[in-house]
Amino acid sequence: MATREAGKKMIMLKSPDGMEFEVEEAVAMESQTIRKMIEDDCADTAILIPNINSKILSRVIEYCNKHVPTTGATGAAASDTVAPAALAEDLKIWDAEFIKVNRATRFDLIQAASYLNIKGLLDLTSQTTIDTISDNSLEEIRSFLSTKNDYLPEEEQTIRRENQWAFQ
Amino acid sequence: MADRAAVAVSLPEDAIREILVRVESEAALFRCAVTCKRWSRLVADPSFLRRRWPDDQWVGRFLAGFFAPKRLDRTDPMFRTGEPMFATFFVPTPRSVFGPCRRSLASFFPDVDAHILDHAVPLTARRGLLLVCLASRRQYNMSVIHLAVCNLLAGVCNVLPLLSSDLEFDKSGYAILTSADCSSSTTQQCSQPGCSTFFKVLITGRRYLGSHNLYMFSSSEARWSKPTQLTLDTPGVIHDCLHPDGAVSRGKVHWSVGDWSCRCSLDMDMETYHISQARIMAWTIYVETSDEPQLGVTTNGTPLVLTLSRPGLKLKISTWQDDNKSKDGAIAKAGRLATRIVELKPPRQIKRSPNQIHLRLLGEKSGTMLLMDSQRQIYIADIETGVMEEFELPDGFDGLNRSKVVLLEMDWSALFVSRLGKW
Repeated sequence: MATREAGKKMIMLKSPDGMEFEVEEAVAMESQTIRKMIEDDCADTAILIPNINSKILSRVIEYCNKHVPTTGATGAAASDTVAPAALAEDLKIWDAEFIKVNRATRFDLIQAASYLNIKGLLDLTSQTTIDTISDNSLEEIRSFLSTKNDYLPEEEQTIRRENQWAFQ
Repeated sequence: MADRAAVAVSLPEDAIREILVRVESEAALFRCAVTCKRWSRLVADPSFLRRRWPDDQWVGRFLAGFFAPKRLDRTDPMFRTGEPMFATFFVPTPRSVFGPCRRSLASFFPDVDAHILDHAVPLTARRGLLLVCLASRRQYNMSVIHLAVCNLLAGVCNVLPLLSSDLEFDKSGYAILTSADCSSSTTQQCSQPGCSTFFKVLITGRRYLGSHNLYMFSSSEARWSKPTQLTLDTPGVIHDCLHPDGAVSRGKVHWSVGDWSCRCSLDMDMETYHISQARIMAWTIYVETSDEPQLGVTTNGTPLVLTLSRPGLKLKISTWQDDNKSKDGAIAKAGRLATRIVELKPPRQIKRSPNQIHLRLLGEKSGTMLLMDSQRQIYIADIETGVMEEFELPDGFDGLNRSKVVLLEMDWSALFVSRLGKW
């Protein structure tokens, strides 16, 4: 149900576990996936977001709320008086706080950001993972991502012998 | 633990892709790819590779090393009495994908008679393909030349049909084009990154009687085309090639040509085979103040000219581009667009002052130069940052100069497909 409230268009988002979230259209449109739905006029009723539970969805909305470009309207009163640079700094601190979650939640957020196509959130959530896997050895990457090594020992030996450049 | 394992397994492929495509270092990406077979397949997938290294850009290339003749000792197993004392070897750059040790060209091709490849002369290389001359024979004004295209990743050596002509092969320019270069015109093959085996060989050079000709071999037709005569739009003679290796830019091939008076760039359009020639430098200038100019290509595919001061650490980069292309596809005139100076940064242990450093430019590919100083120390250097890194030149490569060296340019997509595709 798209409703009008205080001059702002609202969008209803539904998680698979039945929770409903009413958000401003501008906030929802931080997600390219939802933006496309709205632009294609597929969003006259509530949008069901599959695979993302209400706990994660609420965090995603929290992120979008914070990151939606402020237009100086009501609700963004605090940012009106602050210089853009300070605002960006503030946002950075907020992001750093936001991402202090356990690994399971972070992976859920990556998955959500990837499905909803929210570039900023995807960059933020995947950065720690990228840093970890960029700097570490194969064993450390495997244990960090909990991937199961399905190479035979001799296969792995071949890979390492052929590709010393990647293991130095 | 069980919870953790469940998390990673449930991470959908889209999300994994999003993470992996953001991994900047190629080595780290490779390590991630070999954590398990599923990830390996994910990374070797054409759509992933195309996203990581867009094909219309020049970013997915890198320098893996160079080929040069190595002197053979009598104790060398490759040494044969009564045969040339040299064999073609590969010298890897630091962290090369072909390992840290120099090796013979023949060692890449275990199925080919090593005898044939030991004395093959490298002519040009592009995206992991190396064109070599296996043998040439000259009788009166006719030559017979035997070429082969070596795929270094696949270990496959394609011997081309004999080419018999009155072309002066040792003063000719050579180029290899791949399906990515030709996709707009001749080939309709689907261009899966790194998978296509299509290639084209171009030779331009002067016949004994004077006119310039183009010879072409396409792997899809498996024969040499009839020679086409080449002419310049502007009056003037086409000079001989100074180095067989052509630089391939967006839609064009460039060869370094010249005579006693000047250095020029001979440019050929890949679709129309139209040629033009632009003067890079007068002879007197480079001999006094700098090394020979080197043709190259920027990361977005425009041709450039590199000139190194001598002595000193100043690299001049001139971007070379056509002024305009008239309606019939003919190139009116080539001109220099911009010139900038990059200060080379030698490794810290070199304490000599710049005017005591005499560097020679041995070649450039994919934004990396190969340099050698007067004390036989070799370096690679990034043409954008100027950062130099030294590495060891193995014994037996004395008297290296530009004419003896062919740089091996590789393609990350092809490398990843080759090294991951089998798992």
